[in-house]
Amino acid sequence: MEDYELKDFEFNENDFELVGEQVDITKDEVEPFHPGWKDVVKRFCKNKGAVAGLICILLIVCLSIFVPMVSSYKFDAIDTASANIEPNGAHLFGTDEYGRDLFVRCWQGTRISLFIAVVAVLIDVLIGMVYGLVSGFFGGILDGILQRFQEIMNSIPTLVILTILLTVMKSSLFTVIVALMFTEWIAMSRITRAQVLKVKEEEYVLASRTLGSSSFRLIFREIVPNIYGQLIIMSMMTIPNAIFYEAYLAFVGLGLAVPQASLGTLINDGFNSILVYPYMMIIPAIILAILMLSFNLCGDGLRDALDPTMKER
Amino acid sequence: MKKIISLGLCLAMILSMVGCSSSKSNGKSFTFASELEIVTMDSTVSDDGMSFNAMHAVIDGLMGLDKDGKIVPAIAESYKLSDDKLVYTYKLRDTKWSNGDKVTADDFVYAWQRIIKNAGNYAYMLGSDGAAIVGADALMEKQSNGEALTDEDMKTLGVKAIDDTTLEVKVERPCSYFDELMTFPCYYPINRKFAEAQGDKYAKKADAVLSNGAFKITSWELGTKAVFEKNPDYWNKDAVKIDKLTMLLVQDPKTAAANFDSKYNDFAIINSSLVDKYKNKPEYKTYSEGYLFYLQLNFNKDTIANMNIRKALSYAIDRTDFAENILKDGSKEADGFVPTGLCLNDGTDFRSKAKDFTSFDLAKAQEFLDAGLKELGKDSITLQLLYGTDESPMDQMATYLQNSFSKLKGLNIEMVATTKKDRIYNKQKNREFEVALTRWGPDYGDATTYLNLMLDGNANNYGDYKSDAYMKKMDEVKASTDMSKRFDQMIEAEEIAMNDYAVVPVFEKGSSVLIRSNVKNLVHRPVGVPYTFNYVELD
Amino acid sequence: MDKSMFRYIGRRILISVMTLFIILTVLFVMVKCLPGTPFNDEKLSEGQRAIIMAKYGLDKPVLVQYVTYIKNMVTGDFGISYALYKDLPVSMLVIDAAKISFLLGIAAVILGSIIGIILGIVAALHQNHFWDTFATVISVLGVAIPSFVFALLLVIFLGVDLQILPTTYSSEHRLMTSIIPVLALSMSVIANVARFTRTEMISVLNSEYIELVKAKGLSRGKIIRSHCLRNSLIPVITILGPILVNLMTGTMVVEQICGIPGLGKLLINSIRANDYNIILACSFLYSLMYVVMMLIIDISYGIIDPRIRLAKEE
Repeated sequence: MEDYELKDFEFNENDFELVGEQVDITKDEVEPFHPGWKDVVKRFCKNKGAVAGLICILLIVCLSIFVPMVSSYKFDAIDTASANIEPNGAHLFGTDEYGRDLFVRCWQGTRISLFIAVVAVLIDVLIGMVYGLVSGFFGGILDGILQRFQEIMNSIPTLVILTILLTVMKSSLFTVIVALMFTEWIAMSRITRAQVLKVKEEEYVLASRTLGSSSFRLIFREIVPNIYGQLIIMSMMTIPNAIFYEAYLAFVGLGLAVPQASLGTLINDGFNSILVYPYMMIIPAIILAILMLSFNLCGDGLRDALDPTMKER
Repeated sequence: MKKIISLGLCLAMILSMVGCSSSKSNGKSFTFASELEIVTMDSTVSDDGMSFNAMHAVIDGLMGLDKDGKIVPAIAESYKLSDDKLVYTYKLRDTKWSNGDKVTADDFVYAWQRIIKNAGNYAYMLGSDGAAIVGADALMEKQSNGEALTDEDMKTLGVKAIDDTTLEVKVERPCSYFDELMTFPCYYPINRKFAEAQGDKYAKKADAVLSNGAFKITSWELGTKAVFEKNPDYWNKDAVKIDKLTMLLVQDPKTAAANFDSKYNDFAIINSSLVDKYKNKPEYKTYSEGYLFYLQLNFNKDTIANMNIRKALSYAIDRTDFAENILKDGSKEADGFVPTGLCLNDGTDFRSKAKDFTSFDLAKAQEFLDAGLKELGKDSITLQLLYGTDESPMDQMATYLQNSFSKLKGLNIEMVATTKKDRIYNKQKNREFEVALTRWGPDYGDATTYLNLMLDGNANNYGDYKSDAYMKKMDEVKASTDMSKRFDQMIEAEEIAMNDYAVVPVFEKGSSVLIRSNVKNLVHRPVGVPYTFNYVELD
Repeated sequence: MDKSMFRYIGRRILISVMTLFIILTVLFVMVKCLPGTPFNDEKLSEGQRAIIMAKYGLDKPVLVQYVTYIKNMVTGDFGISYALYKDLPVSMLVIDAAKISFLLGIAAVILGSIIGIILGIVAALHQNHFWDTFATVISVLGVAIPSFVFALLLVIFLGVDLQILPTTYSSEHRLMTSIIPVLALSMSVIANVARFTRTEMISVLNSEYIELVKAKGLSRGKIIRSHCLRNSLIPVITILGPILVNLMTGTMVVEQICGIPGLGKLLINSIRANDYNIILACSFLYSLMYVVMMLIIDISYGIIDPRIRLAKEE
């Protein structure tokens, strides 16, 4: 490579151009005020995946609510005369070995799966959030104890806890939810604690404290409103997890009592006849996949919308 | 990258070819696939069918089975029964263990003492629930009190080696099915010297067990397979037509069926969902498994104690529909508490002489229910249906029954799903159930193996069915020495219990299998050892 | 390595050992809470069961059993199986099963990371073009859809419809029958690795030193090979540990589907049979893997970036 020196360069007339005239710097434009949530909605709507996910979720929720209500078939009505019918006009998803209509059963199952997911999320958001808030806000010895406990709980693989717990209790909807409660709160509590630790040193909290606010007020008026975005995102992510664990439990034979159906038990039952009637398993598996995918996409979209700084590069 | 992929593919093909070629061997070979695993080869601890199959292939007991599944002498050449029917004297054949030792009478004594000493799961078969060998009950009683058994104690067991080839067995009461019991693995001999030398390792590996039977075990990989080859020193070696026997563990019926199609195995057990695919093929067969699935009713609950409610339950079940359209595996509707083909007298089956106690009539069921509800003074009742989710096909049965019972107006069903162990040892034992889905497999080919279950005080009578008439009849059965009279008494006893609706029989379990068309003489029995491979022939 | 590093590692190991000990205790108590006994045959009489319980020392107080168990465990003796495989040593059973699971897991991680890295690099090099979109779709699918759904779909399409692969594992045809489970398990690995590689690669590509070598006039191929790859792949290696840990839980269901006699299947079977020692050993092994992996991750981060260590010690 050759060496250049500054003196070798010569500036020509049109090397530079004037930009000043194109922008009127004397005018100060201010964006009109609009509330924060509108920004969130706007950012969310820009994300095509997230919108598609949301639409899918809404569609699935509607189907799971209305199909079992309006269908002429009942989800547990056995009719051996019409067993093992492949999907057709009368039975959109076919029938199972007992002659039960799988279209109704699938949506009934989705309903239960969604119910499990929502309840599990509600409960563990409560447990996890409170745990994280208390641990993070009060700190000290309490924090130490709570964190050690959390660390230990976290080192037992979730599935080991679930499996053992489920054998101690009988299999029912309630048990599945309790089992999920035991494990799902950990991630939530960690996030909450980390957020609380970050926020509680901020000036506005200090200001409020100096003005004599009680701990209760500090937590619920100053801290929680400033971390709720994170919590919503986290709980959004818990839903697919809960659906997955329910399916997993059904698959290892610890699901619901018959004749109830969830996506997990439907997949599990269908798996038995996979060689002869594959449609019995494919359909619920696909619904499960779509549902989990939609929640993931939606969660991602929500995260980006609520907190643009977290957006992945 | 392409190179790597093609290399990988080559490797895969080579390996899969190696795999294929190894599974096909020379000589006549029979491959049996089962979803169950050989748990142990020690006849003194085993209690499961698959281990029985494997042991029976390797070891002969006093009595054995012939081609048709009839009981014939095996290691015993002949035996004499004393006039009071309490002492059996067996003359043993001149046979050898695979290490060259002679099979002696002492090998039996050792094995029988060992099962008591080791508290084997089938030790009770020696006691009054089975053969009632002299002293067996007392020894077990002593043991359960926490006392150690001395060698002196062991001598009180009623089995004695008079000399190397003469074995004397004393029993406490006459037993009509004693010959059959002698085919059970818990009565097999064990070579004392060999077992003592092996110590803890006995029967835990292929080379830690000796053979005196049709086959020798050559390899045994846990979780995979066991390979047996013909025993050239077997006393009845001319009857053995195959050179190699392989027992594969294939835990999934779907795989077993697929492997059957690709000729990896010659025998596979399939489940009801696969039946539709195979039912018209010549390889498809069904067996009776001997298990009776029934509803145990808890008489301690007011609702169940009402006769009309019990009747309603029984009439509400369309057993034929369930067995033929849902299970489809050769299961049959149960007519009574004693399954078909279990107990014969002079060629007459118990079932063909006894009445049919079950029928399906929804209208009648509703009438009975209404009558029952009136007696109870209620508009509707809720019954709990207890079942184990880990006992196939209990879930199918539960699904069907829930639907059947729910068709009755005024009867609500609450499903209680649990595991088998919780069902039996927690719920049923503590009487915390109303209707329990349960099953029973016969211990021996006599109706009492079922009828005893309904005796007041029987450990398995979790429903606390009590009937003086039944107890009296069963006492008569016990005391009876005339076989055909006893047979009739048992039939009468069943009738008493069935008319009381003591339990609600549902179906007799069948099992559907795929078996290569050229395979002959695979002996299957619902009692004791399920499969006998000794006479398998390939055309 | 300085003194504080050693102290940090020592502390972490101590906490891990304590954690494992507590887990074991909790598991022990839980296992004893299971209804029934390992001897579940309905034919066994009460007396007979009592004799068998006594034979295995299960009639003693739980505390005594616990102390004996811990004592034996320290010497590597995990007891014997009561029900699944009568009287066989648990350590042997568990190690055999773990080998299968672990090999599958490793195979899935290797396969997944190779594909993932390639996909990630291609995506980073063709930003916002077809391959980039493709990689994004794959990673979203891989993260969102559980591995067992992939396994089921693979079984149906490759095994049942096309019949080119066996659907269930058999030790006779280990290679062919492992393809479906490995593929299914590797999906999430592919997704995570591809996503991570892409991000790393893009940040490396935009970094100043790459600008420099670009300015120096190196060919694109050479820049990528000798400058980008190494720097973007080192961080990728650090995420393989957590991925492997997550994978182990995924194998449990996939094992169930593909009939693989691995650790997960053994655990489920032993829970059904109440085979105490196997339940304990399996769960313990799972926890051990998890804790050790966490430990390695923490320590390696500590070595790589001392700031993390400081933050943790606060």
